[in-house]
Amino acid sequence: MASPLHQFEIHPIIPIQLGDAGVDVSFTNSALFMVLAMVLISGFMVLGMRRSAIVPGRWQCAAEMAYEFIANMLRDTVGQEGRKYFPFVFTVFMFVLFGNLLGMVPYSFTFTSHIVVTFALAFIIFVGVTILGFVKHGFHFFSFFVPPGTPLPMYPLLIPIEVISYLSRPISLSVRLFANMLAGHTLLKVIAGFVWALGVFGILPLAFVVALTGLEILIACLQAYVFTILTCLYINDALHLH
Amino acid sequence: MPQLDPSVFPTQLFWLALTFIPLYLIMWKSALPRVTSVREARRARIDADLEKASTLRAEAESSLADYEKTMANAAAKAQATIREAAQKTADAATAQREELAEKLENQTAEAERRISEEKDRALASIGGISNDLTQAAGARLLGGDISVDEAKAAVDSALASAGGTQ
Repeated sequence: MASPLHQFEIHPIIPIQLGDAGVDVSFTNSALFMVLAMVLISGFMVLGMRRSAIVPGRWQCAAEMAYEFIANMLRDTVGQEGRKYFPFVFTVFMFVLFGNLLGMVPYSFTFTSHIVVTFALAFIIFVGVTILGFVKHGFHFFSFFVPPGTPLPMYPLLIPIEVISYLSRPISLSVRLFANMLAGHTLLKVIAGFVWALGVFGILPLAFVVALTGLEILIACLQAYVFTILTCLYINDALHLH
Repeated sequence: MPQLDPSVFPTQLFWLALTFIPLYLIMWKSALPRVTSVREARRARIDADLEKASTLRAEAESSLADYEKTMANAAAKAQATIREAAQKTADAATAQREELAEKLENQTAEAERRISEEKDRALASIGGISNDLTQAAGARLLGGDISVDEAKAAVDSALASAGGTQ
């Protein structure tokens, strides 16, 4: 039986070396699924809207529903000022969602199960939101680290806590997604391993794997949602402080 | 754990950037504006349709009011015409009846006049005949001539007494 972690291994498909230092940027199975996600999302949205009918068909309706879902989320959490960041939030949601769901296809690769990918996304969001906060509020942005109504003696205690919680945002955001994907796929693999090992009685873990696959699809959608709504909340914090 | 192998970090980051940035640009510049424009066009269309519907409704209501007014006018006019016609008929009937009554009255009066004339004439002629008869009867019964004047006086007194008893 292959290791449950075997599915997370990265294999180069087309080896590419970049620059004199020979940085390895090979086209890998991970890159393949990122490209696939990009192509599928673009196809879903662009081809779905190609007729742009007043009365939409099924495909156009699905594309509009995705749009509406994120637009409503952004409006509810950030408000009307959030509209400028809608394309970014939408792209983040679709990319994570398709990454998670493509990973549910057997023999595929889940690029959102790699901490470096989720951390890069979370770090871009963190840096972007921090820059946004400084652009909007200047040095007044530091008042974000002081919750309103805090008595002065509490400042030395509260400010470090707030700063640490702010700085840990990219870590919690990325680790949440990465850990969920890693744990779900590992669990599926481990239980799937029992199906062969138990022979006739393998029917029991098989049924469990089927049920768990449904749960994993739910988690794939849920984690994309959580990742996106936290992005919206961070944007809201940067725009409105408290 | 393959996730913690730093040798695969550059390729992952490289391809993440190479897919995420174009995807962002496609969504930003192409896909999402289309959805926005369709949704705006749809909202504009719905608003326009609703406005048109309310205009048509107001129009229909005013036409209905016009129609009702016209109907009421026509009914009033018809009533007036009917009343007028009835009045005219009644007037004509009254006039005719009065004319007839007058005519009948005239005829009655005429007839009465003629009757009384005839009666007078008859009475007068009766007087003449009575004179002659009295003269003749007197001559035969009394054997002497009775003058016309005498006979006439006798008859007249008789007639007067007869008329008095009548």
